[in-house]
Amino acid sequence: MSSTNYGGLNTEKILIVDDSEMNRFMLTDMLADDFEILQAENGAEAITMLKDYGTEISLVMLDMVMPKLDGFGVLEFMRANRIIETIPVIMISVENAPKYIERAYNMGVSEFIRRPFDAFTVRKRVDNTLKLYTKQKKLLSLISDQIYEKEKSNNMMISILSHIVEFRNGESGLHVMHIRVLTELLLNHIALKYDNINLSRTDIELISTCSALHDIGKIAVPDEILNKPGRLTPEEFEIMKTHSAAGDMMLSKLPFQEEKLVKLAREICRWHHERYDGKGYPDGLKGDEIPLSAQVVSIADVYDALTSERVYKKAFSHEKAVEMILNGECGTFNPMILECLTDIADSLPEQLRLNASMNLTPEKIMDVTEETFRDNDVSISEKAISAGMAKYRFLLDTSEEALFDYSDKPSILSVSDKAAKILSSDKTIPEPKSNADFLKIMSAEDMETLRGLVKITASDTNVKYTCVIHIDGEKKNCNIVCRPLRTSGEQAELTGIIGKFDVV
Amino acid sequence: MNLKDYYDKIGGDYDGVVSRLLSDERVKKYVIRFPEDKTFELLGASLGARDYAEAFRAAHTLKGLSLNLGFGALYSAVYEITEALRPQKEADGLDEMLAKVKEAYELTVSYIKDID
Repeated sequence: MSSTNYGGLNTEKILIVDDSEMNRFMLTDMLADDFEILQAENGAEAITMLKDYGTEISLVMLDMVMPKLDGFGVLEFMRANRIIETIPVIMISVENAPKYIERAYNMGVSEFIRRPFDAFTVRKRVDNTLKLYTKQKKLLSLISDQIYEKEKSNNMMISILSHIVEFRNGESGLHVMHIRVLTELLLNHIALKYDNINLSRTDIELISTCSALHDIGKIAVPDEILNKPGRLTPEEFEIMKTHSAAGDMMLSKLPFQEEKLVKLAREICRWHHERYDGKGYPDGLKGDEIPLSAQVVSIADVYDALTSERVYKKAFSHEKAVEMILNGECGTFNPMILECLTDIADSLPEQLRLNASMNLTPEKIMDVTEETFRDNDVSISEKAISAGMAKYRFLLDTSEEALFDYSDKPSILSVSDKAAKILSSDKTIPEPKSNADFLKIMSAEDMETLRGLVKITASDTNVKYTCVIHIDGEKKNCNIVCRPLRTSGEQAELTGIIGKFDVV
Repeated sequence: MNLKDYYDKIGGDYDGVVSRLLSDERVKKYVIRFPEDKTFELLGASLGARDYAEAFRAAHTLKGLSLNLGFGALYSAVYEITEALRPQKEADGLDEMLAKVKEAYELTVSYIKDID
């Protein structure tokens, strides 16, 4: 692996992957005037470079037939990690059978250059591909900026509105913020936990935004009742209860009824005092007749009311509030949402404190933008890679420990610098179970046993495994501590293993 | 001898390579480096070790290189052995094919030092 740079400081990096030194030399010669060139001799090295440099690499020039891991193996890795959407690949090969070219394109290469390549074509294809990807990246960031601005002013308008209601109510604006954050946390957890419930990031954003409007109907409640210093009489309470239907009524007079935001806001206003057993108001809806949005906001509303001080009561502690909700002291709620509340209860106080001040972050906007793009079949995952890869790189680069991570599909073992040194192996080992070099270090039986153990282990639980390994022909005891990586959702599948080891 | 004479001597395609690589200088730069490339040695060694997967990769690489550099005679010889090795197992006539590659390779390399 090497790096050649005849260009300036901010030149784009191109990774040339080819087993022939002569080929790398020719391609480097054609491109080095304007790009910084990184070189890898085979697919495994290419993966190491992709992990090390991440999205700093602007383009990959990829040979097809190579030892250790071929070009298709690299493409498979790039696809599995969704790098192919951010880093374009130009494949170069002497293979000109349509089946190879078709396969390459199907696996996501941007261009296919047949040999003999010429200097002009190489240069033009590189320029065009980079231009296209740069344009796409620019567009994406432009759109996310616009969405961010738009959402920011939308949210601000909604906040202002709901604050007016709150102020009249003698409450601080914190209530609105808390409900928004609680609603979002609950919805996120529901989406994570229940695959059968279809909640997109956009839905969650919308419902959370609308949650701020849940009490706007209170502007129709007279001051003396709204701000009465003490408990309400039954008659007064009946008037107070009209606020939910009143909120819905007010919104029903708006012209844009087809908007999802208005629909959600109306549901939430009208039904956030309904209860799962039908004992709520104003309509006495039961079970899932109550829209999920309103069900979630009602729990958030109750939680925040309990933990806030009122003229007629002191604030309950977080623990007490959760306990009261779970015990049904504030009415009956959907058991599914209660389960989610239990799951996230421990982290709630901290999350509320952290999130109340910054509930619309650029990261969130990026998520929504990405989702929008994905739905339109233009998937972009720059953020996902850059964050994930950067963290991973940092760990591998700085750790003094022997770390490894193994992905199942494609089957690739990656180890930290330290680990590679201990094992005197490469940093990237494709197909470890059939890799002759790696089999000299660890037996296939041990690999299989370890994988089997990890497979049946719960997430967040460590597996400890000791086995004999061979380093430069010498027997050593190796202590491995690792845990499973899984897909999210109910039928979570093992996707890999992450861990560390030491050798004694 | 000049670059065109060299290509004529080794049964190569001078016009093709110059049109692809755009200048005599660039072609020369690449050709002069060609003897340093170890792919040919790798082909011989891996065939000797009966490692047919490695031999296929080496042949394949050499085929691409010779095609790109316009080494016509070498390309024809390597093309034959690459296809024979594609199944990545022993095949009839590999020794003869390797001999042909060797002959073409040596011819190609032997005149490089005479290019001015």
